[in-house]
Amino acid sequence: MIESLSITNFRCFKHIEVAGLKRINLVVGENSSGKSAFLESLFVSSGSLAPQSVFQIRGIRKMGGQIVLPLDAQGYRGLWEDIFFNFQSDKPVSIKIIGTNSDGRSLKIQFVEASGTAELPFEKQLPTNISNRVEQSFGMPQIEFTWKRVNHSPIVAKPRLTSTGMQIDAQVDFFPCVWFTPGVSETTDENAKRFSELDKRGESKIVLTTLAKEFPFIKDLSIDYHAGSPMVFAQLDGKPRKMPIPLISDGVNRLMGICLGIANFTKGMVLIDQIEDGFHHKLLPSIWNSIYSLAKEFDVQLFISTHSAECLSAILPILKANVSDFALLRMIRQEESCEIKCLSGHYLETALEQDFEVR
Amino acid sequence: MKCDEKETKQHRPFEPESPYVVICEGFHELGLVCALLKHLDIENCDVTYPKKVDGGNGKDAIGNVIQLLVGRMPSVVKGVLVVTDADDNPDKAFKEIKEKFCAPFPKPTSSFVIQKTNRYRSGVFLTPGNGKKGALEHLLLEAANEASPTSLNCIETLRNCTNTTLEWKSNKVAKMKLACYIATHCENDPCCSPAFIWTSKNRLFDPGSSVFSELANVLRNFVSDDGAANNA
Repeated sequence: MIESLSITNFRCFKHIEVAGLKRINLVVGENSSGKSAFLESLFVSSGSLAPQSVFQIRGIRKMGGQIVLPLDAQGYRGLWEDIFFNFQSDKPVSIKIIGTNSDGRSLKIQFVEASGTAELPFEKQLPTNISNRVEQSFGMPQIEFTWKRVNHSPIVAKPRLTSTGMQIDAQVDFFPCVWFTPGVSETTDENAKRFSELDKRGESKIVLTTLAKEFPFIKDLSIDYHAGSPMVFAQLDGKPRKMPIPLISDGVNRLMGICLGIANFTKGMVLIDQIEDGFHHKLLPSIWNSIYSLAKEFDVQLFISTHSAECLSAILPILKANVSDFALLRMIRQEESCEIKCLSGHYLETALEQDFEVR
Repeated sequence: MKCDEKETKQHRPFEPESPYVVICEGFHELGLVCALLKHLDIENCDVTYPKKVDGGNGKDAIGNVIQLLVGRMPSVVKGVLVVTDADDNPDKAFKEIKEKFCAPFPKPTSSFVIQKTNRYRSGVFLTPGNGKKGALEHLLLEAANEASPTSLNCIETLRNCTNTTLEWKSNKVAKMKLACYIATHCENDPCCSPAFIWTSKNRLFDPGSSVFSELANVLRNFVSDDGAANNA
């Protein structure tokens, strides 16, 4: 579990240090204060999906998911520059994480210059009038991700862009981590896979119990095929035929995805951006209760962002009973750089009781 | 909250927007402070009071609100003024509130004095006023006495006649008298809360009355740009 971290030269953060993190960390702040960038920093430092996530985030931010392969160094550098603070790609990104029992890990992202006749970091789809591309790769920038973990050898990855996607020459599974972004549900395939894994371990009942607590009309869950794809189906009360979960409700689908994420990322980290998305306000206290219980049971650390006052108020009962397991991360947009203030669960408890604006 | 009549009645989480915040002991004090700020044309000041979903509130929770303001730093807030009851022991009341102030706000050295540092300022106003024991209700009864002395005489007669409140403590008697005064003077809402006696429909007292000038002066000094230290 992460206890503290520092982020340097990443997205909107020039340099921040955060300590006092807990099992449940609520991330709040105004628009453009760095909430998503903070969650992203946790995600990219967790493993080899980091390079892809840089591009996935463009899709999430509605910048378009497609990448046009660059033809020159400037175009290539431009593909990655936005992950650096103020686009300052001459300095490395550094994310350092200290976990419990001194289990630390770090990620460094930087441009390095290729030497000799190194291959171009992207597929050579060159116009015929451009030649000597290999020779031109002298001085060609190459993005490099370096992960380090205490008592492990460093892993260096230089992702290559091809017309079939991104190729990474290293496998890094440092730390189990999943990120739920607003308005984007996990794919039905992914949920089916996670449910199946859980079922094999004999632990799928907990997902059914959690869903049925919020939605009592759900009586059973199973994996079945719909239009040729595996997905989780539910047996509904009084209905003769099972129904795919996504067809029942967005809220049911999202809660199931979160439950499966927590249960499948044991001793890992689950990031939930805008948790209130898709849930009726009446369900929020009970959903908080379920999410907290699952996080405890599967030893998962949660980072959850919200803009909703109702959502924060709904956490009060579970917070009061387990105040030392909670922290409030308040993102603040300053003139030069975004900053983070980590406040204790006691602070959050008092603020909610005093009806004080913390978002 | 900003001191707007509609907003005073609206529920929304407190978020300081102004450089100066007055923390009142309760909602009744908030009504008076809002009325004075409006009368004085002071706009750079927010007003709040401790609230709790369950459990206690009032004076005991004033420290929580100060802590919450500190927890939001950096923020726009540069000063905190606490308005609370003196009760039976003004010195004790001041010392208890003084201990609740924490950095960056300076600890006030005495009540009714705005303590100013280069960037931050603090103060404590004890109702009914300097050198007096009592509560907000005593201050409001002074205003009632100024507006209608005969009414208070009648209320005193009622008290002696009913014979039920003769053993009550001073603060309780003051509350009883204020409730009687409101009930007999506020046609719009005879049951109205002391927080709402300042609204345009009720308007029981004149915020420009000399009765409130001590609090008005402290408020003026609290929000002033003079930069002078330790003057009230």
